[in-house]
Amino acid sequence: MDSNKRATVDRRDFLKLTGVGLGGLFLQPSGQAFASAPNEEDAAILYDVSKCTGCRVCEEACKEYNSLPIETTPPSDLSAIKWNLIKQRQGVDAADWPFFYYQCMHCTDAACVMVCPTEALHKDAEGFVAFDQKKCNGCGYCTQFCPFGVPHLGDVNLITGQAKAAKCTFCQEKVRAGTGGPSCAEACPTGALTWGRRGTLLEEAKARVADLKAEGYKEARLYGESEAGGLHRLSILLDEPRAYGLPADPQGPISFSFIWQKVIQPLGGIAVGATALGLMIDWLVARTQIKVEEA
Amino acid sequence: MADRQKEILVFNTTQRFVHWLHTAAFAVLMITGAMLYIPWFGNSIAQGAGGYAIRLIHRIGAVAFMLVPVIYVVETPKEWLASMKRVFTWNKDDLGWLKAAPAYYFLGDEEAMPPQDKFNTGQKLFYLTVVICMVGFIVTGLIMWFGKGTVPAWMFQWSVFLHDLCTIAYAAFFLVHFVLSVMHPLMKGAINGMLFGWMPEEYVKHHHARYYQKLRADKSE
Repeated sequence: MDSNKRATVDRRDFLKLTGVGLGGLFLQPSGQAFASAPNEEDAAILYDVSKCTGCRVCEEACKEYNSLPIETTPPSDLSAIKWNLIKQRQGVDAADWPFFYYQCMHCTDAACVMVCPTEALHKDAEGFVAFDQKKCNGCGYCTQFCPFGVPHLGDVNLITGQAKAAKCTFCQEKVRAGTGGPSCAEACPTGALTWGRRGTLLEEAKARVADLKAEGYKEARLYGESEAGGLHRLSILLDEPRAYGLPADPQGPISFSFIWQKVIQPLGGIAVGATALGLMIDWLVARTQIKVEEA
Repeated sequence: MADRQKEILVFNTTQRFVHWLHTAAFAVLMITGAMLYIPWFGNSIAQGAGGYAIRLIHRIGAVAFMLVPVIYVVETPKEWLASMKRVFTWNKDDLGWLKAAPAYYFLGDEEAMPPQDKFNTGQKLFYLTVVICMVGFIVTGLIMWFGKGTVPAWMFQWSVFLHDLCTIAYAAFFLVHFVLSVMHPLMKGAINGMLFGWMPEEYVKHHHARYYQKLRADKSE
């Protein structure tokens, strides 16, 4: 080996390497990186719209278990104190008004988790999107980035911004303790809502969709297998997603939350880091190269 | 004043005040903003009540930040207008400056340096970045503060995105501004202008020749 060559480090290469190294400092550890696919053993909820009678027992069970205040006028949308809701919508057949059950979809690629600056919103080991309200600082990014419009802020102080977000937690305390499942699914009297292992539920749902098709529901389909990386709230629909107000592609062509958090953030770090490095080199070179005559 | 004979007043009191108010607000906004945006920088502090405090301080900083242009325009409209004109005036000398800058700032080689106005090309670039980002910060910041839930989600998402792009541009340029004005051996004297308003005549003549000529011409008229 040519020892002269080995000792030489091209200045440009040195700068490049240092830049990459410094940039790396700004890249966050990938602890928050999402698994490419949800696990079969994850916990999940399955909603079968064809079995729902709109009795709202699920809503009561949620209010009760989560100690949410009872509302005197029926809410028309989810809120900080309304984590699940059955809404009636006009179906394919104009005379048909099917119910649909809304709650957190517990995405695998959850935009709310990605934009949450406090880790109040986080992925549970069982795959659903858990929430630790103590950590929430009320920034409300989750309310603006969720493609399903699920998280909501409670009372907001417009001057200070103080608020707390809230959403369906999959009844995380019970599920983690192994003492039960989501209250809504446990309470459902018609079997429209069930919960269990995601892999099992997917199999059941696919069989059910095949049956529904055989019964003449041509548009019957499963929603949530791959949407937003795979949902942990799966749905059996009798029509296109938009008939239920669901986005066909929840993440859209570009995921703004991803670009904002996973692209711009490290790139910004690299840009600022590279600038700092350049300045440091300038300072080191300039102070030896430039002789200033003191007046 | 005898000792001021060899010095030139380059920034009046208002200009210096708004510069330092801007600096203070910027520091507060940068630190609190980074705590919210960069996970390793302040995730645990930004949680719960700590997060409330950080977000409130960010808003107080934002009010100071927004006061800067208001004070500048109201107090010294003529100087403000003159500065804006300078920032948006570009010619071939600016290109010459950019070409000559590396040799100048690394090695002190000033042969190729074209004569500069009150702000040299680099200072103009920084000022321009500040002006553009300020508009960006204020518009997107107000949307994030008061528009959450009332503006469409896409507008809010664009706002946080642009707010952060402005931060990155601002932070990078701030470093350059800081190093060149405080640490670079050739720039000793520049800081005096912003601290006390006065700069040595020699410094102005040397670094801002075109501006110096204008001053001389105005005087002799």
